[in-house]
Amino acid sequence: MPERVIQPRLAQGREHIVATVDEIAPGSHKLVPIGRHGVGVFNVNGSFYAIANYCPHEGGPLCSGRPRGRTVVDESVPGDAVMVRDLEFIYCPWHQWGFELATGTTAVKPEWSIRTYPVRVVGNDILVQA
Amino acid sequence: MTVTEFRDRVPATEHIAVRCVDSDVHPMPRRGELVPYIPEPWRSRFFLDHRVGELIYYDAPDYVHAMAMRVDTFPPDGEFAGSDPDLAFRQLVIQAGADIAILEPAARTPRLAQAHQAFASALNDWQHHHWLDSRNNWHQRWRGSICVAIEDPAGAANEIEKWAGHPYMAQVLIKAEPRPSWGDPVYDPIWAAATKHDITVSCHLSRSSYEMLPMPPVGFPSYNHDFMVTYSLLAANQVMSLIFDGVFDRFPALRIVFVEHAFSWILPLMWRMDAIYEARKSRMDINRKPSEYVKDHIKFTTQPLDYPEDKTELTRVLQWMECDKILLFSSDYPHWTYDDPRWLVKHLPESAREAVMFRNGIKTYHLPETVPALEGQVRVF
Repeated sequence: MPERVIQPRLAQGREHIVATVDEIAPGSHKLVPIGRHGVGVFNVNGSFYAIANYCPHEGGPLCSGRPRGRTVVDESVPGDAVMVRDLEFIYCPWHQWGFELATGTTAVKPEWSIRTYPVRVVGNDILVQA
Repeated sequence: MTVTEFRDRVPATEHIAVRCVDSDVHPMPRRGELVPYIPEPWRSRFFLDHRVGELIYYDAPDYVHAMAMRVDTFPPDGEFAGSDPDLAFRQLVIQAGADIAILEPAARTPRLAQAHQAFASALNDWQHHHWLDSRNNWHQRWRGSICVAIEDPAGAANEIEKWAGHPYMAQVLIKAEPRPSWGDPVYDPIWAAATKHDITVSCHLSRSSYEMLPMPPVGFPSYNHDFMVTYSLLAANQVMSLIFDGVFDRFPALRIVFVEHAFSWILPLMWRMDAIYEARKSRMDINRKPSEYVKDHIKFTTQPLDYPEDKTELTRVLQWMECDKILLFSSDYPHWTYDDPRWLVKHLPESAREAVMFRNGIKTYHLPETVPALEGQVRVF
Protein backbone atom coordinates (compact mmCIF):
# COMPACT_ATOMS: atom_id res chain seq x y z
CA MET A 1 0.00 0.00 0.00
CA PRO A 2 1.38 3.47 -0.91
CA GLU A 3 2.76 5.65 1.84
CA ARG A 4 0.56 8.02 3.77
CA VAL A 5 2.05 11.01 5.48
CA ILE A 6 0.90 11.47 9.05
CA GLN A 7 2.06 14.71 10.60
CA PRO A 8 0.87 16.77 13.56
CA ARG A 9 -1.20 19.75 12.42
CA LEU A 10 0.53 23.13 12.85
CA ALA A 11 -1.17 26.09 14.54
CA GLN A 12 -2.86 28.55 12.20
CA GLY A 13 -2.32 32.30 11.89
CA ARG A 14 1.42 32.65 12.36
CA GLU A 15 4.60 32.46 10.36
CA HIS A 16 6.07 28.98 9.94
CA ILE A 17 9.44 27.80 8.68
CA VAL A 18 8.15 25.16 6.28
CA ALA A 19 11.15 24.03 4.24
CA THR A 20 14.62 24.86 3.04
CA VAL A 21 15.01 26.40 -0.41
CA ASP A 22 16.67 23.33 -1.93
CA GLU A 23 13.93 21.07 -0.55
CA ILE A 24 11.36 22.28 -3.14
CA ALA A 25 12.79 22.07 -6.66
CA PRO A 26 11.32 24.21 -9.47
CA GLY A 27 8.08 22.61 -10.66
CA SER A 28 7.51 20.70 -7.41
CA HIS A 29 5.73 21.47 -4.18
CA LYS A 30 5.57 20.54 -0.51
CA LEU A 31 2.36 20.01 1.40
CA VAL A 32 2.53 21.56 4.89
CA PRO A 33 -0.03 20.56 7.55
CA ILE A 34 -1.31 24.03 8.43
CA GLY A 35 -5.06 24.33 9.09
CA ARG A 36 -7.73 21.82 8.30
CA HIS A 37 -6.68 20.91 4.76
CA GLY A 38 -3.02 21.86 4.63
CA VAL A 39 -1.13 24.43 2.56
CA GLY A 40 0.82 23.66 -0.62
CA VAL A 41 4.11 25.52 -1.09
CA PHE A 42 5.08 25.63 -4.77
CA ASN A 43 8.32 26.54 -6.52
CA VAL A 44 7.42 28.21 -9.82
CA ASN A 45 10.61 28.77 -11.79
CA GLY A 46 12.41 29.93 -8.63
CA SER A 47 9.57 31.90 -6.99
CA PHE A 48 7.70 30.39 -4.05
CA TYR A 49 3.92 30.51 -3.62
CA ALA A 50 1.63 29.10 -0.93
CA ILE A 51 -2.02 28.15 -1.57
CA ALA A 52 -4.78 26.35 0.37
CA ASN A 53 -4.97 22.62 -0.34
CA TYR A 54 -8.72 22.77 -0.83
CA CYS A 55 -10.73 23.13 -4.01
CA PRO A 56 -13.92 25.16 -3.44
CA HIS A 57 -15.76 23.21 -6.14
CA GLU A 58 -16.30 19.86 -4.39
CA GLY A 59 -13.59 19.93 -1.72
CA GLY A 60 -10.88 18.06 -3.61
CA PRO A 61 -7.19 17.96 -2.49
CA LEU A 62 -6.10 20.76 -4.83
CA CYS A 63 -2.34 20.52 -4.38
CA SER A 64 -2.06 16.88 -5.46
CA GLY A 65 -3.16 17.94 -8.93
CA ARG A 66 -0.98 18.89 -11.85
CA PRO A 67 0.79 22.25 -12.10
CA ARG A 68 0.94 23.63 -15.62
CA GLY A 69 0.13 26.81 -17.57
CA ARG A 70 -3.09 28.00 -19.06
CA THR A 71 -4.20 27.39 -22.61
CA VAL A 72 -4.96 30.36 -24.85
CA VAL A 73 -6.08 30.76 -28.45
CA ASP A 74 -3.29 31.29 -30.98
CA GLU A 75 -4.52 30.90 -34.53
CA SER A 76 -1.01 30.97 -35.92
CA VAL A 77 -0.10 27.49 -34.63
CA PRO A 78 -1.43 24.01 -35.45
CA GLY A 79 -4.39 23.27 -33.19
CA ASP A 80 -5.06 27.00 -32.71
CA ALA A 81 -4.02 26.86 -29.04
CA VAL A 82 -0.86 27.20 -26.97
CA MET A 83 -0.07 26.84 -23.30
CA VAL A 84 1.38 29.95 -21.69
CA ARG A 85 2.93 30.69 -18.24
CA ASP A 86 3.86 27.05 -17.62
CA LEU A 87 3.63 25.86 -13.97
CA GLU A 88 1.97 29.07 -12.75
CA PHE A 89 -1.40 27.35 -12.23
CA ILE A 90 -2.48 24.34 -10.19
CA TYR A 91 -5.28 22.09 -11.50
CA CYS A 92 -7.41 20.09 -9.04
CA PRO A 93 -6.97 16.32 -9.49
CA TRP A 94 -10.73 15.68 -9.36
CA HIS A 95 -12.32 17.96 -11.99
CA GLN A 96 -9.42 20.05 -13.30
CA TRP A 97 -10.46 23.41 -11.93
CA GLY A 98 -7.36 25.60 -12.36
CA PHE A 99 -6.09 28.22 -9.87
CA GLU A 100 -3.39 30.82 -10.38
CA LEU A 101 -0.80 30.06 -7.71
CA ALA A 102 0.13 33.74 -7.26
CA THR A 103 -3.44 34.94 -6.60
CA GLY A 104 -5.74 31.95 -5.96
CA THR A 105 -7.96 33.11 -8.82
CA THR A 106 -9.87 30.57 -10.86
CA ALA A 107 -11.16 31.27 -14.35
CA VAL A 108 -13.93 28.68 -13.91
CA LYS A 109 -15.78 30.71 -11.32
CA PRO A 110 -13.84 33.84 -10.27
CA GLU A 111 -16.07 34.52 -7.25
CA TRP A 112 -14.90 31.20 -5.77
CA SER A 113 -11.23 32.13 -5.76
CA ILE A 114 -9.26 30.78 -2.80
CA ARG A 115 -6.71 31.81 -0.16
CA THR A 116 -3.06 32.27 -0.93
CA TYR A 117 -0.49 33.00 1.77
CA PRO A 118 2.53 35.32 1.99
CA VAL A 119 5.86 33.56 1.53
CA ARG A 120 9.32 34.90 2.53
CA VAL A 121 12.75 33.41 1.95
CA VAL A 122 15.16 34.12 4.82
CA GLY A 123 18.64 32.73 4.22
CA ASN A 124 18.03 29.12 3.23
CA ASP A 125 14.57 28.90 4.87
CA ILE A 126 11.13 29.28 3.34
CA LEU A 127 8.66 31.03 5.66
CA VAL A 128 4.89 30.93 5.15
CA GLN A 129 2.40 33.15 6.99
CA ALA A 130 -0.71 30.99 7.27
CA MET B 1 7.21 11.54 9.98
CA THR B 2 6.33 9.25 7.11
CA VAL B 3 4.80 5.90 7.93
CA THR B 4 3.85 3.05 5.70
CA GLU B 5 0.34 1.93 6.33
CA PHE B 6 -0.14 -1.79 6.80
CA ARG B 7 -3.45 -3.52 7.00
CA ASP B 8 -3.64 -7.18 7.85
CA ARG B 9 -6.41 -7.97 5.37
CA VAL B 10 -8.40 -9.42 8.24
CA PRO B 11 -11.89 -7.98 8.83
CA ALA B 12 -12.52 -6.56 12.28
CA THR B 13 -14.96 -8.45 14.48
CA GLU B 14 -16.60 -5.14 15.34
CA HIS B 15 -19.25 -4.03 12.82
CA ILE B 16 -20.47 -0.56 11.86
CA ALA B 17 -23.70 0.51 10.15
CA VAL B 18 -23.61 0.98 6.38
CA ARG B 19 -24.18 4.73 5.88
CA CYS B 20 -22.98 5.21 2.30
CA VAL B 21 -23.54 2.89 -0.67
CA ASP B 22 -21.75 3.99 -3.85
CA SER B 23 -23.58 2.57 -6.86
CA ASP B 24 -21.08 3.54 -9.57
CA VAL B 25 -17.39 2.66 -9.26
CA HIS B 26 -15.19 1.64 -12.18
CA PRO B 27 -12.52 -1.02 -11.77
CA MET B 28 -10.12 -1.44 -14.67
CA PRO B 29 -8.10 -4.51 -15.66
CA ARG B 30 -4.33 -4.05 -15.69
CA ARG B 31 -2.75 -4.40 -19.13
CA GLY B 32 -3.22 -7.96 -20.36
CA GLU B 33 -5.00 -9.06 -17.19
CA LEU B 34 -8.31 -9.72 -18.89
CA VAL B 35 -7.01 -11.72 -21.87
CA PRO B 36 -6.83 -15.20 -20.26
CA TYR B 37 -10.47 -14.90 -19.15
CA ILE B 38 -11.87 -14.30 -22.65
CA PRO B 39 -13.27 -17.62 -23.87
CA GLU B 40 -12.00 -19.14 -27.11
CA PRO B 41 -12.44 -18.83 -30.02
CA TRP B 42 -13.16 -15.14 -29.34
CA ARG B 43 -9.87 -14.52 -27.56
CA SER B 44 -7.65 -15.57 -30.49
CA ARG B 45 -9.95 -15.14 -33.44
CA PHE B 46 -11.43 -11.78 -32.50
CA PHE B 47 -9.89 -9.83 -29.64
CA LEU B 48 -6.19 -10.63 -30.15
CA ASP B 49 -6.66 -10.44 -33.92
CA HIS B 50 -8.70 -7.24 -33.92
CA ARG B 51 -6.68 -4.81 -31.89
CA VAL B 52 -8.01 -1.32 -31.53
CA GLY B 53 -6.39 1.85 -30.30
CA GLU B 54 -7.88 4.62 -28.22
CA LEU B 55 -11.64 4.10 -28.13
CA ILE B 56 -12.60 7.21 -26.19
CA TYR B 57 -13.44 10.42 -27.98
CA TYR B 58 -14.09 12.85 -25.30
CA ASP B 59 -13.59 16.48 -24.40
CA ALA B 60 -12.60 16.27 -20.74
CA PRO B 61 -10.13 19.02 -19.70
CA ASP B 62 -6.43 18.14 -19.98
CA TYR B 63 -7.46 14.84 -21.58
CA VAL B 64 -4.00 14.07 -22.95
CA HIS B 65 -2.66 13.98 -19.41
CA ALA B 66 -5.69 12.99 -17.32
CA MET B 67 -7.47 10.54 -19.71
CA ALA B 68 -10.79 11.78 -18.27
CA MET B 69 -9.81 10.36 -14.86
CA ARG B 70 -9.11 11.88 -11.47
CA VAL B 71 -5.37 12.39 -11.84
CA ASP B 72 -4.68 11.15 -8.30
CA THR B 73 -6.21 7.73 -9.03
CA PHE B 74 -3.41 6.44 -11.28
CA PRO B 75 -1.43 3.90 -9.25
CA PRO B 76 2.35 4.31 -8.99
CA ASP B 77 2.99 1.14 -11.02
CA GLY B 78 2.06 2.96 -14.25
CA GLU B 79 -1.20 1.10 -14.80
CA PHE B 80 -4.51 2.82 -15.47
CA ALA B 81 -6.78 4.61 -13.00
CA GLY B 82 -8.96 2.14 -11.11
CA SER B 83 -6.65 -0.83 -11.74
CA ASP B 84 -5.34 -1.11 -8.17
CA PRO B 85 -7.94 -2.41 -5.68
CA ASP B 86 -5.82 -1.27 -2.72
CA LEU B 87 -5.55 2.32 -3.96
CA ALA B 88 -9.28 2.41 -4.76
CA PHE B 89 -10.01 1.05 -1.28
CA ARG B 90 -7.87 3.73 0.33
CA GLN B 91 -9.27 6.65 -1.69
CA LEU B 92 -12.91 5.66 -1.92
CA VAL B 93 -13.61 3.66 1.23
CA ILE B 94 -11.12 5.03 3.79
CA GLN B 95 -10.76 8.65 2.61
CA ALA B 96 -14.16 9.35 1.00
CA GLY B 97 -16.25 7.15 3.27
CA ALA B 98 -18.10 4.78 0.89
CA ASP B 99 -19.10 1.78 3.03
CA ILE B 100 -20.00 -0.48 0.12
CA ALA B 101 -19.13 0.14 -3.54
CA ILE B 102 -20.84 -1.41 -6.57
CA LEU B 103 -18.18 -2.15 -9.19
CA GLU B 104 -19.11 -1.56 -12.81
CA PRO B 105 -16.38 -2.44 -15.30
CA ALA B 106 -16.70 -0.16 -18.30
CA ALA B 107 -16.61 -2.67 -21.10
CA ARG B 108 -15.82 -2.53 -24.77
CA THR B 109 -18.91 -3.10 -26.89
CA PRO B 110 -17.98 -5.13 -29.97
CA ARG B 111 -20.65 -5.00 -32.63
CA LEU B 112 -20.96 -8.80 -32.76
CA ALA B 113 -23.33 -9.97 -30.03
CA GLN B 114 -21.37 -13.18 -29.36
CA ALA B 115 -18.07 -11.32 -29.09
CA HIS B 116 -19.68 -8.86 -26.69
CA GLN B 117 -21.01 -11.75 -24.59
CA ALA B 118 -17.55 -13.36 -24.52
CA PHE B 119 -16.03 -10.09 -23.36
CA ALA B 120 -18.71 -9.66 -20.69
CA SER B 121 -18.11 -13.16 -19.37
CA ALA B 122 -14.38 -12.39 -19.17
CA LEU B 123 -15.15 -9.32 -17.06
CA ASN B 124 -17.18 -11.48 -14.68
CA ASP B 125 -14.40 -14.02 -14.20
CA TRP B 126 -11.89 -11.19 -13.85
CA GLN B 127 -13.94 -9.45 -11.13
CA HIS B 128 -14.27 -12.75 -9.30
CA HIS B 129 -10.51 -13.35 -9.31
CA HIS B 130 -9.12 -9.82 -8.99
CA TRP B 131 -11.58 -7.75 -6.92
CA LEU B 132 -14.09 -10.02 -5.18
CA ASP B 133 -11.59 -12.64 -4.01
CA SER B 134 -10.69 -13.02 -0.35
CA ARG B 135 -7.38 -11.15 -0.76
CA ASN B 136 -8.81 -8.05 -2.46
CA ASN B 137 -12.24 -8.07 -0.84
CA TRP B 138 -11.07 -9.02 2.66
CA HIS B 139 -12.91 -5.89 3.90
CA GLN B 140 -16.20 -7.00 2.26
CA ARG B 141 -16.72 -3.54 0.72
CA TRP B 142 -16.67 -4.49 -2.99
CA ARG B 143 -19.70 -5.78 -4.88
CA GLY B 144 -19.42 -6.86 -8.50
CA SER B 145 -21.69 -6.73 -11.55
CA ILE B 146 -22.73 -9.70 -13.67
CA CYS B 147 -21.92 -8.16 -17.06
CA VAL B 148 -24.04 -9.43 -19.95
CA ALA B 149 -24.67 -8.53 -23.61
CA ILE B 150 -28.39 -7.86 -23.80
CA GLU B 151 -28.43 -8.28 -27.61
CA ASP B 152 -27.87 -12.00 -27.00
CA PRO B 153 -30.73 -12.67 -24.54
CA ALA B 154 -30.19 -16.44 -24.21
CA GLY B 155 -26.47 -16.00 -23.57
CA ALA B 156 -27.20 -13.21 -21.12
CA ALA B 157 -29.64 -15.39 -19.19
CA ASN B 158 -27.01 -18.18 -19.04
CA GLU B 159 -24.46 -15.75 -17.65
CA ILE B 160 -26.93 -14.63 -14.97
CA GLU B 161 -27.60 -18.28 -14.06
CA LYS B 162 -23.86 -18.89 -13.80
CA TRP B 163 -23.15 -16.05 -11.37
CA ALA B 164 -26.39 -15.58 -9.43
CA GLY B 165 -25.82 -16.59 -5.83
CA HIS B 166 -22.20 -15.40 -5.84
CA PRO B 167 -21.84 -13.78 -2.41
CA TYR B 168 -20.38 -10.56 -3.86
CA MET B 169 -22.21 -10.16 -7.18
CA ALA B 170 -24.83 -7.49 -6.50
CA GLN B 171 -26.45 -6.81 -9.86
CA VAL B 172 -26.72 -7.56 -13.57
CA LEU B 173 -25.13 -4.92 -15.82
CA ILE B 174 -26.52 -4.24 -19.30
CA LYS B 175 -26.35 -1.60 -22.03
CA ALA B 176 -29.21 0.48 -23.39
CA GLU B 177 -28.27 0.98 -27.06
CA PRO B 178 -29.27 -2.32 -28.73
CA ARG B 179 -32.60 -2.39 -30.54
CA PRO B 180 -35.47 -3.03 -30.13
CA SER B 181 -36.20 -1.25 -26.85
CA TRP B 182 -36.42 -3.13 -23.56
CA GLY B 183 -40.20 -3.58 -23.65
CA ASP B 184 -39.85 -6.08 -26.50
CA PRO B 185 -40.53 -9.68 -25.36
CA VAL B 186 -37.21 -10.73 -26.93
CA TYR B 187 -35.55 -9.63 -23.67
CA ASP B 188 -37.90 -11.56 -21.39
CA PRO B 189 -35.33 -14.33 -20.70
CA ILE B 190 -33.06 -11.69 -19.10
CA TRP B 191 -35.80 -10.20 -16.91
CA ALA B 192 -36.94 -13.75 -16.04
CA ALA B 193 -33.46 -14.84 -14.94
CA ALA B 194 -32.95 -11.66 -12.92
CA THR B 195 -36.29 -11.88 -11.11
CA LYS B 196 -35.86 -15.61 -10.55
CA HIS B 197 -32.74 -14.80 -8.53
CA ASP B 198 -34.16 -11.52 -7.18
CA ILE B 199 -31.20 -9.57 -8.55
CA THR B 200 -31.32 -5.96 -9.75
CA VAL B 201 -30.61 -5.08 -13.40
CA SER B 202 -28.54 -1.94 -13.90
CA CYS B 203 -27.69 -0.05 -17.03
CA HIS B 204 -24.60 2.12 -17.13
CA LEU B 205 -24.41 4.76 -19.84
CA SER B 206 -22.37 3.65 -22.79
CA ARG B 207 -21.81 4.60 -26.40
CA SER B 208 -21.71 1.36 -28.30
CA SER B 209 -20.40 1.86 -31.83
CA TYR B 210 -21.27 2.47 -35.45
CA GLU B 211 -25.01 2.46 -36.12
CA MET B 212 -25.72 1.50 -32.49
CA LEU B 213 -24.65 4.90 -31.17
CA PRO B 214 -27.58 6.40 -29.28
CA MET B 215 -29.09 8.38 -32.13
CA PRO B 216 -31.57 11.17 -31.40
CA PRO B 217 -34.70 11.33 -33.58
CA VAL B 218 -33.22 14.19 -35.62
CA GLY B 219 -29.91 12.44 -36.33
CA PHE B 220 -26.44 12.62 -34.89
CA PRO B 221 -25.41 15.77 -33.05
CA SER B 222 -22.48 17.84 -34.25
CA TYR B 223 -20.52 18.02 -31.00
CA ASN B 224 -19.58 15.80 -28.09
CA HIS B 225 -21.27 18.02 -25.52
CA ASP B 226 -24.49 17.80 -27.54
CA PHE B 227 -24.02 14.03 -27.60
CA MET B 228 -23.57 13.90 -23.80
CA VAL B 229 -27.10 15.25 -23.32
CA THR B 230 -28.43 12.60 -25.69
CA TYR B 231 -27.76 9.88 -23.10
CA SER B 232 -30.74 11.02 -21.08
CA LEU B 233 -32.99 10.64 -24.15
CA LEU B 234 -31.91 7.02 -24.40
CA ALA B 235 -32.80 6.33 -20.77
CA ALA B 236 -36.11 8.18 -21.11
CA ASN B 237 -37.01 5.98 -24.08
CA GLN B 238 -36.21 2.80 -22.14
CA VAL B 239 -38.27 3.98 -19.15
CA MET B 240 -41.28 4.56 -21.42
CA SER B 241 -40.80 1.21 -23.14
CA LEU B 242 -40.49 -0.70 -19.84
CA ILE B 243 -43.70 0.84 -18.52
CA PHE B 244 -45.98 1.05 -21.57
CA ASP B 245 -44.90 -2.32 -23.01
CA GLY B 246 -45.81 -3.88 -19.67
CA VAL B 247 -42.46 -5.28 -18.55
CA PHE B 248 -43.22 -4.56 -14.89
CA ASP B 249 -46.62 -6.28 -15.25
CA ARG B 250 -44.94 -9.35 -16.71
CA PHE B 251 -42.17 -9.21 -14.08
CA PRO B 252 -43.57 -7.53 -10.94
CA ALA B 253 -40.36 -8.18 -8.99
CA LEU B 254 -38.05 -6.56 -11.58
CA ARG B 255 -35.84 -3.72 -10.36
CA ILE B 256 -34.00 -1.46 -12.83
CA VAL B 257 -31.24 1.07 -12.12
CA PHE B 258 -30.12 3.74 -14.59
CA VAL B 259 -26.54 4.65 -13.81
CA GLU B 260 -25.09 8.00 -14.89
CA HIS B 261 -27.97 8.94 -17.22
CA ALA B 262 -28.78 12.02 -15.08
CA PHE B 263 -32.25 12.11 -13.56
CA SER B 264 -33.77 15.59 -13.43
CA TRP B 265 -35.68 14.77 -16.64
CA ILE B 266 -37.69 12.04 -14.92
CA LEU B 267 -39.95 14.58 -13.17
CA PRO B 268 -41.54 16.09 -16.32
CA LEU B 269 -41.49 12.65 -17.93
CA MET B 270 -43.55 11.20 -15.07
CA TRP B 271 -46.03 14.09 -15.44
CA ARG B 272 -46.26 13.52 -19.21
CA MET B 273 -46.67 9.74 -18.92
CA ASP B 274 -49.32 10.13 -16.21
CA ALA B 275 -51.24 12.61 -18.37
CA ILE B 276 -51.25 10.27 -21.37
CA TYR B 277 -52.21 7.36 -19.14
CA GLU B 278 -55.12 9.33 -17.67
CA ALA B 279 -56.42 10.15 -21.15
CA ARG B 280 -56.00 6.73 -22.72
CA LYS B 281 -56.00 4.16 -19.95
CA SER B 282 -59.07 2.37 -21.31
CA ARG B 283 -56.89 1.30 -24.25
CA MET B 284 -53.89 0.23 -22.15
CA ASP B 285 -53.00 -3.06 -20.54
CA ILE B 286 -51.06 -1.51 -17.71
CA ASN B 287 -53.12 -0.88 -14.61
CA ARG B 288 -51.26 1.74 -12.59
CA LYS B 289 -50.07 5.27 -13.13
CA PRO B 290 -46.68 5.29 -14.91
CA SER B 291 -45.15 7.38 -12.09
CA GLU B 292 -46.04 4.59 -9.65
CA TYR B 293 -44.11 2.07 -11.75
CA VAL B 294 -41.15 4.45 -11.76
CA LYS B 295 -41.19 4.87 -7.99
CA ASP B 296 -41.61 1.14 -7.30
CA HIS B 297 -39.28 -0.37 -9.89
CA ILE B 298 -36.72 2.15 -11.14
CA LYS B 299 -33.78 3.92 -9.52
CA PHE B 300 -31.42 6.58 -10.84
CA THR B 301 -27.94 7.39 -9.59
CA THR B 302 -27.06 10.86 -8.35
CA GLN B 303 -24.00 11.48 -10.53
CA PRO B 304 -24.19 13.60 -12.68
CA LEU B 305 -26.08 15.99 -10.41
CA ASP B 306 -27.50 18.84 -12.48
CA TYR B 307 -28.57 22.00 -10.72
CA PRO B 308 -29.33 25.64 -11.40
CA GLU B 309 -27.35 28.48 -9.83
CA ASP B 310 -29.96 28.74 -7.07
CA LYS B 311 -29.73 25.40 -5.29
CA THR B 312 -33.05 25.84 -3.49
CA GLU B 313 -34.58 25.11 -6.90
CA LEU B 314 -32.77 21.78 -6.86
CA THR B 315 -34.17 20.99 -3.41
CA ARG B 316 -37.70 21.66 -4.64
CA VAL B 317 -37.29 19.44 -7.70
CA LEU B 318 -35.89 16.64 -5.53
CA GLN B 319 -38.92 16.88 -3.27
CA TRP B 320 -41.40 16.99 -6.18
CA MET B 321 -39.96 13.83 -7.73
CA GLU B 322 -39.84 12.11 -4.31
CA CYS B 323 -36.10 11.57 -4.62
CA ASP B 324 -36.11 9.39 -1.48
CA LYS B 325 -37.90 6.74 -3.58
CA ILE B 326 -35.90 6.88 -6.81
CA LEU B 327 -32.30 7.97 -6.16
CA LEU B 328 -29.14 6.06 -5.24
CA PHE B 329 -25.89 7.81 -4.35
CA SER B 330 -23.06 7.34 -6.86
CA SER B 331 -19.56 8.82 -7.11
CA ASP B 332 -18.29 7.57 -10.51
CA TYR B 333 -14.83 7.01 -8.98
CA PRO B 334 -12.22 7.16 -10.52
CA HIS B 335 -13.60 9.18 -13.43
CA TRP B 336 -12.99 12.93 -13.57
CA THR B 337 -16.71 13.51 -13.05
CA TYR B 338 -16.30 12.08 -9.51
CA ASP B 339 -18.74 13.34 -6.87
CA ASP B 340 -17.52 13.16 -3.28
CA PRO B 341 -20.19 11.70 -0.96
CA ARG B 342 -19.65 14.46 1.63
CA TRP B 343 -20.29 17.04 -1.10
CA LEU B 344 -23.27 15.23 -2.59
CA VAL B 345 -25.12 14.63 0.66
CA LYS B 346 -25.32 18.39 1.34
CA HIS B 347 -27.54 18.80 -1.73
CA LEU B 348 -30.20 16.33 -0.61
CA PRO B 349 -33.22 17.41 1.43
CA GLU B 350 -32.46 16.32 4.99
CA SER B 351 -35.41 13.94 5.10
CA ALA B 352 -34.11 12.11 2.00
CA ARG B 353 -30.45 11.76 2.99
CA GLU B 354 -30.59 8.35 4.63
CA ALA B 355 -32.74 6.90 1.84
CA VAL B 356 -30.51 8.14 -0.99
CA MET B 357 -27.14 7.60 0.69
CA PHE B 358 -27.71 4.02 1.89
CA ARG B 359 -31.25 2.72 2.57
CA ASN B 360 -32.27 2.51 -1.10
CA GLY B 361 -28.92 0.95 -1.96
CA ILE B 362 -29.24 -1.72 0.73
CA LYS B 363 -32.72 -2.61 -0.51
CA THR B 364 -31.90 -2.46 -4.21
CA TYR B 365 -28.78 -4.62 -4.02
CA HIS B 366 -29.73 -6.72 -0.96
CA LEU B 367 -26.71 -5.49 0.97
CA PRO B 368 -25.97 -6.10 4.64
CA GLU B 369 -26.92 -3.41 7.15
CA THR B 370 -23.45 -3.53 8.72
CA VAL B 371 -19.88 -4.15 7.58
CA PRO B 372 -16.66 -4.92 9.49
CA ALA B 373 -15.30 -1.68 10.93
CA LEU B 374 -12.13 -0.10 9.48
CA GLU B 375 -9.69 1.96 11.48
CA GLY B 376 -9.44 5.54 10.24
CA GLN B 377 -12.35 5.39 7.81
CA VAL B 378 -14.13 8.70 7.08
CA ARG B 379 -17.84 8.67 7.93
CA VAL B 380 -19.85 10.65 5.39
CA PHE B 381 -22.64 11.91 7.64
